[in-house]
Amino acid sequence: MPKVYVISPGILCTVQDAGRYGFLRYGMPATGAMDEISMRIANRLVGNAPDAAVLEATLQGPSLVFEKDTYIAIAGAEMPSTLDGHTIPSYQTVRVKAGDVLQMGKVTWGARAYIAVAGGFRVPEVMGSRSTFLSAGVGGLEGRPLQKGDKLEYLCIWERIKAVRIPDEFLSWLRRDGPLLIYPGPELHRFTREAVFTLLTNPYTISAESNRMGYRLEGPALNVKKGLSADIVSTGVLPGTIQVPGDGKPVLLMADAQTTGGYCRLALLAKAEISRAAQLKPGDSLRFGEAQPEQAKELIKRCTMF
Amino acid sequence: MMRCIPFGDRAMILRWNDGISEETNAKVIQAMHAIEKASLPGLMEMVPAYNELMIVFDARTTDFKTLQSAINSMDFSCDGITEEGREWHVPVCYGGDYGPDLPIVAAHCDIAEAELIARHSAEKYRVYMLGFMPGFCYLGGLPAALSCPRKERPSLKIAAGSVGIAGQQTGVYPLESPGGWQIIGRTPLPFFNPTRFWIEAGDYIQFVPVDTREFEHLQLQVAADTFDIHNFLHA
Repeated sequence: MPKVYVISPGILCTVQDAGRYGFLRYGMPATGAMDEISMRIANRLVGNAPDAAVLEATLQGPSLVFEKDTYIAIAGAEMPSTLDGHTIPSYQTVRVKAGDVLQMGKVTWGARAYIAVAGGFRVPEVMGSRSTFLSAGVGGLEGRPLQKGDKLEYLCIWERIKAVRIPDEFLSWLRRDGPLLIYPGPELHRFTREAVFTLLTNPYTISAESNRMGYRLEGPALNVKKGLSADIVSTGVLPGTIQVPGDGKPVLLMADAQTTGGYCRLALLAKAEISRAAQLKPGDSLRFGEAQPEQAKELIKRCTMF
Repeated sequence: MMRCIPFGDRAMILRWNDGISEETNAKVIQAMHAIEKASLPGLMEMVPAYNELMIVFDARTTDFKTLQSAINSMDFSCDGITEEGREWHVPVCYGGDYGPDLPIVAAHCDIAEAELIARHSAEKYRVYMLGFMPGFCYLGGLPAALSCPRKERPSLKIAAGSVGIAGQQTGVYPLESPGGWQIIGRTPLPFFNPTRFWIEAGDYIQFVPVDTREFEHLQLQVAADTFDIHNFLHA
């Protein structure tokens, strides 16, 4: 199999796919692409199944050279990129010739970009997935971020790919503004009315203590009612859960989060909104809004539209 | 009484009463097995906890109401299948290099180290749930006399397999990690094994003291993958 050679890895680049299910009960997070919707689009643009393994590039993308002709596509964050010295757009199927160098720059919109190659990146599967679980050092490329000098195999199907066209409407929807839509969590009733109101009206900022496991948010503290504890007996949690520890500062769990937790679950993001949250970086501001029942179906549909 | 609660747009929680009890946890696990056998369409994942069961489903093919209806019509107690948890005998080399905090815990509990080892390894600890790290078991049943506060200053590096005590809890670190638990021993058994998770909620663990020679012998077998985890199942 031909290989992609890593000239420079960018800031944090890992192999991800749709994640691994079936092991949450053993404490193994699903991991996978933080912005699953963009991953699917990148894959569709090169004729792949939507959950083929891609590269997830954070804040600044890698520089790669391809051994053999293929197709690539980039979706998600906007990182000015060149191939063989020529500017290439994101959200498009791009023909790559053997020896072409892909150079990706610093992010200008969003946080995480997905690079798909026709046929998908081929690293060994661990527990049925090619996603990287950094905390345990398993999956993806040897359980770690890409480094200079790495060689990644790719399947290299370039003769007949069937790229899907992504409508402009969907692309605008991907870059939509507005509050992140949330549903009430099982411990919502433990919080004061002021806390719930604050959550739905006040902006929060992503702090520097944020990564694939979760984002610590800066902003007004959210308090539980007098006499109640912020701690609960450990329970299951999912990416998208907004946990609130004793200090009242919310934590938004993301793809690599622990599967269980002992803090109150105040709310959680609609699945489609996790993809949008994945495009936020430290310093960014965010707001939350209540998901309305009539929005729910549409949001779910959009998750797997491509 | 069990209640179904929505948990976002792709999950739900089955909740029993508050608090920690073997009885409630057994109901959670029984429900999980029964729901699994029912093969409900769209079901993706289940995570048992002390008194809750989290169910993750594919929202394209099912929803909260459909699952709630199906689950409420099930009678878990009459399922007819009472799955007894398995009992694992987990070899531990206590003290020395593998258990640097054994003296601290013994001193705190005001007992001799030998007695600490004897009492820690006399109990059958219930695995209530797994979480926090892959392969990490939330164990219940540490005698109050053996409890010891966690370190004020967490250790930067605790070896995989380390057996520790923190407050009322005892447990095993499945992976190398920073942490605040008092480490009293180490097991060569791989609690995190990407090819096979072998311990489950509802199982029991008894720790079995072994000497360093036995520990190292087992460690080599684990490294070469020539051991059979079923050798550590109590028949």
